[in-house]
Amino acid sequence: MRSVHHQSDQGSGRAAGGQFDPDRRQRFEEIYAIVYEPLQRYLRRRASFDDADEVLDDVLLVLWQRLPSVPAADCLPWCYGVARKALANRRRSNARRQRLVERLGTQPVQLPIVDVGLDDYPALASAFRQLAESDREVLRLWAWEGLEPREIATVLGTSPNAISLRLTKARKKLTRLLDRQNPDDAGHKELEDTGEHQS
Amino acid sequence: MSEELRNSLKRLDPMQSAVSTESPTTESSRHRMERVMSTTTHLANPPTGVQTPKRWVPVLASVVVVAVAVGVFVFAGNGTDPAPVAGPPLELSLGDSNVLASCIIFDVAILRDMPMAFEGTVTAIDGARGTLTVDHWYKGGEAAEVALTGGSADMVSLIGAFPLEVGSSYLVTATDGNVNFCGYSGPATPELRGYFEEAFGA
Repeated sequence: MRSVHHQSDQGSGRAAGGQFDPDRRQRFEEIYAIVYEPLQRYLRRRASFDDADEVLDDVLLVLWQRLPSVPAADCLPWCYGVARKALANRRRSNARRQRLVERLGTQPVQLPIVDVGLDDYPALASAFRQLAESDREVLRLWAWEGLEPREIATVLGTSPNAISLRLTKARKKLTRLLDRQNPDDAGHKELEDTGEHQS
Repeated sequence: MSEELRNSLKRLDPMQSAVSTESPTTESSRHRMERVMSTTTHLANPPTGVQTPKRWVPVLASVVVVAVAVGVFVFAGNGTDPAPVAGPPLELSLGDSNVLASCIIFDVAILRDMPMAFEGTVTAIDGARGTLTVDHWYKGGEAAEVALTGGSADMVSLIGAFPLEVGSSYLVTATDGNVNFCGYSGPATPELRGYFEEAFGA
């Protein structure tokens, strides 16, 4: 119960913007079609399959509730921003459960977290892993979600300029780490193997 | 070089394009969509963009008054995320009986002005005292534990306050040592958490 005193038409949902409003339903269906699969990818990159599926429900519910304030041009980054917070809450909840299990003296649960498919590119993966999490996340959003700085700013709740700076720094750090690889330059060799390295 | 690096990073992506996802047009995903759309919408964010008028309506209840004394901050919150620190539990009151309580319609702008907000999990209930472990301080505190005292069954029915259950998580705001109800505190649903994050940041 959000408040003791809802407006009289709120419970029925028939008011403009309510749950039976055809315009609202149509808009939700349109955005749902846009974000449904990218959100699955975003979540499964960062959480176990089960957690990702449950958090997806949370995100969709927030999307439905907040539909009037969802920016039309940036609905997907907006959803990623909601998903980011929902995942943070899920991780806190998992950590809490873990602490409880440990307090009870039972075997700690190994929480499955999908990290990254790093094994095929060990040098690049090693360099990526050495970055701070904040750098990794901005790079993930840029490379994996394919977002531009303005969109990443929407996800992380900051300014595009700040993201551009962070992205530039993160790219430089990653490049420097790759340059420090062994003389065979395994990291760059991984790029050459796929024909994408332009020296 | 930038695009080259971007392409190389894509190869670290565990969700390569070959990894399947569920299409929004499958029966299962359509069912999920309908289930979401069957939930009641709230007008805390009015679709017109017009602020909902703040109407005070008095209600007899055995709880505290929702204090909306903007600007009177007992605890100066700054929206950061301090880690809870060990120490004696912070004591908050669930209210005395036979108090004339008033509810204000829910508004994120009002929530934002609450001086204290946190999410916690009930670890123990001993008579009229419930102890919560703080999982996250949104604003105005740093205690690792909070003890909620007082309250009665009447408040559940009269103003939509919430029964505490061990193991369950709650989002709580408080003013002057008193827990606020009327939608400003409650079980930690994704919806309420979304409002807290909108008001205080994640």
